[in-house]
Amino acid sequence: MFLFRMALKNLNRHRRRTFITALIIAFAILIYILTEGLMLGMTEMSFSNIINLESGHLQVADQNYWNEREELPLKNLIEPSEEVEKKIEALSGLQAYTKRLNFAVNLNNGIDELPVTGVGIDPDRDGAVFELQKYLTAGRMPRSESSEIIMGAKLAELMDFELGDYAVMLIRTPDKTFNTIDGEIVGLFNTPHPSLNESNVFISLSTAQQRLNIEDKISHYVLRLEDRDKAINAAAGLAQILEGDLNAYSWRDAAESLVTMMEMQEIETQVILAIILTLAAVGIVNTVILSALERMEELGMMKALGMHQREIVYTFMVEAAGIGIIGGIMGIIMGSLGLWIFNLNGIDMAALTGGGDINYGFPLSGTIYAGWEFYSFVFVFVYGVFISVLASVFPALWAARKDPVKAIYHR
Amino acid sequence: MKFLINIAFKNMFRNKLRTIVSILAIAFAVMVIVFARGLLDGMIADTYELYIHYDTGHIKIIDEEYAQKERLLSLNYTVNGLENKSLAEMQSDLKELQGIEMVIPRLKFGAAVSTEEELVQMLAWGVDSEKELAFTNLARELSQGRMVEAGKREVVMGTKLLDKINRSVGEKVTMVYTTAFSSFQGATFEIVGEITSNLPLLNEETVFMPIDTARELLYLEDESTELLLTVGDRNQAGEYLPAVQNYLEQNGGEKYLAQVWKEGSSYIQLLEVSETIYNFIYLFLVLLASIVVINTLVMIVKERTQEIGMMSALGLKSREIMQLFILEGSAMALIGSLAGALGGGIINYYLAGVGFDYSAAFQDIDVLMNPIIYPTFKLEHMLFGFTIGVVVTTLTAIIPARRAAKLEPTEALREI
Repeated sequence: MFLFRMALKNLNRHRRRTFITALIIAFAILIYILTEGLMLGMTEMSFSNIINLESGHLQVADQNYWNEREELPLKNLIEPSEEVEKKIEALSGLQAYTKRLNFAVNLNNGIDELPVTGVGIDPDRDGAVFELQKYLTAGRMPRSESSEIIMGAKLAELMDFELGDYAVMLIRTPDKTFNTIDGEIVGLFNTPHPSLNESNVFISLSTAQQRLNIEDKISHYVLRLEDRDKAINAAAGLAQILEGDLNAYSWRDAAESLVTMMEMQEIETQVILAIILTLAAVGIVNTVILSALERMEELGMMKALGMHQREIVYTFMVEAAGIGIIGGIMGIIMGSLGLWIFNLNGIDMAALTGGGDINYGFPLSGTIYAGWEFYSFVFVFVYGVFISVLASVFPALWAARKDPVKAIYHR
Repeated sequence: MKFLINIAFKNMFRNKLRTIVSILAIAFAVMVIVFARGLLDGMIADTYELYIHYDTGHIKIIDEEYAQKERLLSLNYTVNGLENKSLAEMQSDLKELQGIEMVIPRLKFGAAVSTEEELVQMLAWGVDSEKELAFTNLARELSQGRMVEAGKREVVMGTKLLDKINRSVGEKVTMVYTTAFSSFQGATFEIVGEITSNLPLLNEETVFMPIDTARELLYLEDESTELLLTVGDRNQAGEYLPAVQNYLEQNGGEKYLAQVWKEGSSYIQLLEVSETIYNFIYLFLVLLASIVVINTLVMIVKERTQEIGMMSALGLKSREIMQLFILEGSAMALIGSLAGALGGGIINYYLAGVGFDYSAAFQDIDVLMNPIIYPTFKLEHMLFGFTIGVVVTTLTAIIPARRAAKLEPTEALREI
C-alpha cells in the first residue's frame, strides 16, 4: 500500500508528462474503438440482411447440393417428406419454416438476356421466415399456382420492365430441355441486400417445380428460430437426427466468405492496434527511464535505507499502470463520444462507394451505423493497461539494479 | 551555427539510453509508414493496372446507352463507326491523335456452355490477339497453348472455367449465345490455350476468341462494344482526352462517351480517397512518436536549466538556445528516420517477393484485384517516410525548445 501511494504521488510529479504519455495510449484505444465499432455495425447489418432475406437462421439441404449451391444445380434436390418436416417441427425454439427452390434463369426482355437467380417460394409460408414483403416498393407478392413474379426495382429498370409487364424466363430442366415461364411482374422490391435487388426473381414454388419438371422437389428448407444465437447449436443438433445426405446449416455457414472477410478485417484492426500500442510502449519505456533518471538519487537513497529491488520495480509498474489506466479512460471516453457522434448521422454507403453499385463484399446498402460492444471496450482497456505495465518492467529493472552508492553520486 | 551543431551533437550522447529510446520511437513509426506505403502502393498500383488492362483502358469509348446497361452485355449499343466513317477508319483516325499509342477494340457478349448438369454462363470477349498481348499481361498468364488467331474458331479460357465445363486444351467446346438479332445459336470452337491467373475474371469468367470470328457469329458488321485507347503514361491520360472528345464531336459521334480510366470505375475513386486518408494516418503516427521526443526534450531542458542560464549569461541569444534544442531534436529525428526508412525498405524488399494472400477475403467482392498483394520496394516510399519523420519531429521539438529559450538567465542560474 505504501508502494502504491508512492507510485500515485510520483505520477503526480510530472502531470504534463503523464498526460502526454497517456495520450498515446488513449489514441490507440480511440482508433480501435472506432474501427471496431464500424466493423461491428457493418457485420451486424450484413448478417441481419443475410438472415432476413437470403438464408434464414437455419437451412436444411443435401450436403452435395450445399457444396455446389452457388452454381444453382438441379440435382441433389430434396424430396419433401413428413418425416423430415416432423423433425424440423420438433426443433425447440422454431418459429416458422418454409420451402425454397433456387434455380438458374435467363431473364429476357425481348432484346437482351441476363442470367439471374430464380427463387421459388411458398407464398403462404415464406413471409413468416423472410422479410421480403416489407421491402416491396410497388405491387404485391406473387400468388401461389400463378406465374406471377417479383423482382428488384433496380433489375426491372435495367431490363426496362414495368409493373404489369411480362418477363420471359428461360430455364433448363434437369433433362436438358429448355423451357420458358412468362412471368407477370406483380411486384417490385428494394431491399438493403444489393445482390438480391440486382439478380433475384421470385416466383411461386409450385409453378417453378412444374415448369422445371421436378415434381415437388425443393432445394432446401429454411427455418426461422426465436433467436439467431441458437441457430449454430440447433444446426448441429438437427444434423445428427437427419438421415441420409441431408444436413443442417446455420446462417454462419451460409455466409462463410463474409465470416472470413470479417476475420481478416478483425486481424487488420488488431494489427493497427498493435502498431499504435507498440509506439505507446516505447513512450512508456521512455517515461519510466526519464522518471528513473530524475529520481536516481532518490532511488539510491531508498535502496540504501533498505528498500528491495523488487519493490522499486513494483513502484514503477504501478506508475505505468496508472498511465495506462488514465490513457484507457481517456481513450474510452473519446471513443464513446466518437461513436456517438458517428451514430448521430451514420455513414451513407452510397457516399462511401462514390455512388456506385459495387458492393465491397458486404451485403448491405443504405446508411450504416456503428455498433457497440461492451466486451471490446473491456478488452482494449485491459490490453492497454497490460502493455503499459509490461513495457515498464525492463526500464524499471534497469533503474532498480543501480548500485545505491553510484546512484546517489549520480551526477 | 557550426558551434551550435557541435554542442547539440555532444549533448545527444550525454545520456545514451534516453536518446536511443527516443530514436527508437521515431524509427519504429517511420518503418511502419514505409511498410504501409509499400503495401498500399503494391495493392493500388496493381489494381489500377488491372482495371486499365481489363476494364477501362487509359481512355474508353463506349455508347452512352451502353454505359447505363453494361451489365446486360447488350449488342444494340455498339461502337460502329461515325457518320461517314467505318469503325476501321475511326480506329486509324484515333490512332493518329497525339499521344494515343494503341486503339484496342473489344466485343463483349454473354455465352454459355451446356454440360451434363448445368448451363455454365461465361463472358465472351472478341479480341484482337496481337493488341491484347501487347497491352495486357495475358502473355504471362497464358499457362498452356497459345492465344487465339484471327479468323479461326478458337477460344482461350481460364483454368477454373475449363474445370467447370470439364474440358482441357486441345478439345472442342460448343457454346451457345444470342446474336445481335436476338436469335439463339451455337457454335463449336477449339480450345487452344489456358489462362492461369489469380484474377477471378480471367480464371473463371472470361473466354477469349478472335474478334472477327465473334462478329461473324453474332451477325455484326465492323462493330465492337468498346474501344480502348492507350497512352504512354497513365497519369497523362487526362491530357489527351479533350482531343479524343473533340474528334468524336466533329465527326458526329455525339452518341459516344469517352472516359479516362480514373472515372471508369467507382472503385478506383474509392482507392484514391483512401490514399489521401492514409497520408493523414502516417502523419498521425509520426506525431505520436514525436510525443516521446518531446518528453525527452522537456526533461533535458529541465536538467540543463542551470547550463542554459549560464550560457545565456555568457551571451548566447535566446534564439540560439532555441536552435540548440531544435538541433538536438532533429538530430534524433534524422538518425531515427534513417534507421526506420532503411528498416521499412528491407521489410518491403523482402515482402515484395513473398506477398500477402488475401484470396479468402476477396472471394465475393465484385472488384478487379489481385488477391495476393505484393508490397512494392521503392526508394520513393523510404524518402517519404524519412522526410515526414524528420520534418514532423523537428517541428514538434520547437515546443520544448521555446520553453528553454524563454528562461531568464538569472532565474535559471538560481535553480538547483
